[in-house]
Amino acid sequence: MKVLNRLPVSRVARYTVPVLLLIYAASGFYQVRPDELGVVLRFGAVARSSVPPGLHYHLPWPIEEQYTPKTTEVRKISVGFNVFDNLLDEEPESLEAQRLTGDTNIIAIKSMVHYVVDDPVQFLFGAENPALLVQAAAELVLTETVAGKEVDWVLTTGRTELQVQVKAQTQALLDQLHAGIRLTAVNFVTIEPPLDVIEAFNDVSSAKIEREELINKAESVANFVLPKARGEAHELLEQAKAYQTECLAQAKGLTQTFVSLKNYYVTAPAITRQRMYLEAISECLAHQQVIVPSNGDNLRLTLLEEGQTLKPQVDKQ
Amino acid sequence: MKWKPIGVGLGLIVVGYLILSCCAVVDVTELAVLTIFGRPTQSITEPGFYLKWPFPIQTLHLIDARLLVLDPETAEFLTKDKKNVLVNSFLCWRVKDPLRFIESLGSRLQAELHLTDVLNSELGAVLGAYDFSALVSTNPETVQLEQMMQAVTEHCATVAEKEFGIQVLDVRLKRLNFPDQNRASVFNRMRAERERIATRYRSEGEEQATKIKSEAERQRREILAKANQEAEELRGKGEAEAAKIYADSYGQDPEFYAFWETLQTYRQSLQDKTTVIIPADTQLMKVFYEGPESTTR
Repeated sequence: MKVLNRLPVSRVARYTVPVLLLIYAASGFYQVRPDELGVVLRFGAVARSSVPPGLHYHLPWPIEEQYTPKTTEVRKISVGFNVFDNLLDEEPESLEAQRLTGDTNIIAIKSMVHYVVDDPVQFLFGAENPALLVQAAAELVLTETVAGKEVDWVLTTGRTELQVQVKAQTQALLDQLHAGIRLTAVNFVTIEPPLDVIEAFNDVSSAKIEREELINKAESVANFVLPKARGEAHELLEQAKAYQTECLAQAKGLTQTFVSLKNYYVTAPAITRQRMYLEAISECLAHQQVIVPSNGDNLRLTLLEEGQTLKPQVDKQ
Repeated sequence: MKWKPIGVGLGLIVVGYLILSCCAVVDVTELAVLTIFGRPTQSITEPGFYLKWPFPIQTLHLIDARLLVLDPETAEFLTKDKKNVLVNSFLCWRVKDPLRFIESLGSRLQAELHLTDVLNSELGAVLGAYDFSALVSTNPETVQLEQMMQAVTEHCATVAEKEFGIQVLDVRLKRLNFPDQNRASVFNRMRAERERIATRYRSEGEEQATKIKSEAERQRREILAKANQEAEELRGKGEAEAAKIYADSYGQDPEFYAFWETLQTYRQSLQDKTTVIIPADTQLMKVFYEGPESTTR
């Protein structure tokens, strides 16, 4: 305080300056949050690189300065489209999303890449724009990978594997460039043929379905026809068997009658014969119109037409 | 005198400025070049605090030391087999020799312009030396994309280092496509190919369906034919057995059978309102005409 009193400055300055110096010194306190890591530069060079969460102190600027990047936050960037565009828009998609496949077809791929900070120093000071680097890396890996694959594989069965391949190769490139980034996921939002040809592609799917439908329909017809035929066959056989039984039954019945009659007949043939004859004739003539012309009479018969009744004339000689 | 505090103040400001001017801080993201009266003399590649002569004797020029990405405009190239391709390149670079950089280029903009030129010329040369199938193919043996891009990177790196003090780390193809007019014909080809595939699926379906249905029909006929045959055999057997029974029993007295069967026939045929003509000289009518004394013998 005595030193201060001797200084050729005003009284106010005598006390405010030390206070300002204290404030200045206190500006070196900083907090590293739980999802962050601290990096301290001294005169521009890295002095401390992985300051853990908590309260810390660094020499105030311009001697030292601090950065606290979030290291657990999952950042994401879109590849092939702009997140702010409506994904369901029918606008023709930009060339950004188009890729050539190995069989010189064109498809549109829109993806999201998720990443976290792996090395804070590399992430902060390595690349000018780490997010753009991730996007560019993913784009070029997509181009290179898809250029060797078939379009049908990419659109259907290969989707998952392609994601895996793209993630691995993009990570390798980022590691090579010391970007300090670790990819957590590469997800394809859409993989589809460009709008110009999507109808033709959809028709192929429809055609596949139609093929299955045709086959199923045919099979169900077959499944109906065969049991029906077997049923009919069974019926035919049953009818034949019934006929067979009927034949035998009838034969047995008739012959039984005959045999009994014959056994009786042989005991008194003449009288039985006479009786049988007379019985039969009387039955036959019971309700008939009988005409008995006498000897020598001629009988003239007329052929009748529909509706006419019979009136034979008896000619008297 | 009142001028004294003002003079002291001014003096302090000038001294302060000079002191500051002697301090140079190079950040970890920067490289620097010191110039003496505008002439580049030395480079600083390590971050930290440096002392120098104050302005205007020595000036510090700071340069971005970070990894920079060049994203040039879409360019069209021709492959060896005369195919046009649209290319969006990716070139990754950083300043290696700041002195050389300042001497040759001076600014980021100049760097990007020159790098783009070098890139496009090298890319054109390499692409023109390979067929299209070296870029895009389902056959892994024909694809030489990696070698091609490595060649481009190496050529660009050599030129950039020597002439601009720039290190080119990687050159790749970010996007590859056909020019607008070619793209339309590619779409046409894609559509035609898809139509072919769709037609094939549909006709396969028809073919299979027909096969299944005709096979079923064939089996149906087979089943019924067999059944009919068996039925015929059964009927035949039945009739034969019946015939045997008839023969066995009627055969015991054929004459009596004939007599009996004839009477049955009369019974059955002379049914409803038939007119029967019986001549007078039949045995049946004998008694009728001759009276009760007659005999039918």
